[in-house]
Amino acid sequence: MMSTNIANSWWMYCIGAIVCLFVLSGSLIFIIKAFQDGRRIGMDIGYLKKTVIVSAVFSFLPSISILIGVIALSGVIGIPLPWIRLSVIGALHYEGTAVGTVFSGALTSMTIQQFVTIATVMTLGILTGPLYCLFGFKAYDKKFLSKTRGTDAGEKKHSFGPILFNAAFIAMISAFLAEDFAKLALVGKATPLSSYVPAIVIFISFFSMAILDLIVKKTGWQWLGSFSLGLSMLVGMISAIFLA
Amino acid sequence: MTNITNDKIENTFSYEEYNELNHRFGRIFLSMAVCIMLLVPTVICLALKETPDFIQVGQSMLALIIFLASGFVEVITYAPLLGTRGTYLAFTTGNLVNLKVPCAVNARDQIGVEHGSIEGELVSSVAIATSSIVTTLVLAAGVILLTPLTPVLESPVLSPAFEMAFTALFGALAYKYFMRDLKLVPLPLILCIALQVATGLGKSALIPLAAVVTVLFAWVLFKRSQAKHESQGSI
Repeated sequence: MMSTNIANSWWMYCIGAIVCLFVLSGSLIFIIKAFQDGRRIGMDIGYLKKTVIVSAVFSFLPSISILIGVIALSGVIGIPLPWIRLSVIGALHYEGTAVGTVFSGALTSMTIQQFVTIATVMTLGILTGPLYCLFGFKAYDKKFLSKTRGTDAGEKKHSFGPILFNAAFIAMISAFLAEDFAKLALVGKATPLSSYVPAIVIFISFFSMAILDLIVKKTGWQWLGSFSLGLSMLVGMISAIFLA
Repeated sequence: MTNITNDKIENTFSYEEYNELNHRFGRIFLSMAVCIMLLVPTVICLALKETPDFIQVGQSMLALIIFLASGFVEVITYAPLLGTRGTYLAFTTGNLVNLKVPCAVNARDQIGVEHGSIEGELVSSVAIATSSIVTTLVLAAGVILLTPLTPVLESPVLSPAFEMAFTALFGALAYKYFMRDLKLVPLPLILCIALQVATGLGKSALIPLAAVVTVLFAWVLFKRSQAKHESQGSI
């Protein structure tokens, strides 16, 4: 059996810190390069500064949810491994499933070989996206995506690009909502949180967003627009506490 | 915001040139990221002087086949939403569907830049990079504070709120994006609910399927509208 001290050892935290530093420095380089390119083409840098603020506000609450994922997995594989995995190309639904294919139980009953197997499976299984991106994205971009781009405003107005983008996003949201709406079939058979609460939370956050949007339009408070998504999300989340 | 004119861009660099540079930069960064990802289990194996159970690894890969396939499909589906640089960075830092894609889209909307323009590309990459920094810092701070924070975050009172975090996020996003093109909404929504109830298919299978159907439907509507405009123009 493996001691929990191994999964939570100092060197595991060191690996996590290195990964963290890589992501932070890489992201900073992307921001610096964008600002340099923005200046080069004469773009108002204020817009990029605003992007930083808008995106930081937007990302805070979902990041807390990802942290909850680290906490959830920490009981099975320790704290550093889920921290590492959710910092680079991780996603909780995948990481949890990957761990489950190798082991189910508590960290105290895991062998060292199971631990290294889990680390290997979690890494290899998530690599297809980055590898395809590395070797296939450029060709895909040149053959397909570049044709949906237009640099002329008039041309853009009648191009399929923006429609394609909106259609893909509507499809993604629909798939997420469908999973929650399908839970309505479980009313009476499962807990409120696993049956009707998700559908109500969807409606509450949907209408919160509608109300905030209306306030922005009526009052002209554009600053509120930056917070509307986060606030609507928060209202939906708080409502779940009272509904559950 | 006012879009940068085509002439101004042409005076500095062409879109193709700019995109080529983006691919080169993105590929170097992603290659380094893949090496670091592979180094993690390697270092763990070396430190613990243990090899993985390769039969178990193979079996797990089979069980995770849908995720292996979705890695490929995710690039096809989300790249149009992320931009070139954004795609490379998002496929390094992960949490695409629940964070990076909505974040990039939200930033472009807030700033008012068009999808597919150089400004859109820049805003998208800054949004994804900022989001990655915030998540990394929150995770790092959380890991440091994990012991004292755990009772609060895992308290039975707050747990329903965090369980519903992504549900609330997509409820709010639904208003924002459904209202833009309401005629596109019923088809994917009904299709996804029907498939979910009938087959129990998860999001990873439903998203690409719904994306293909919705994009095709949008293409048909786009072509019809174009034909209508042309016929009105000829009159």
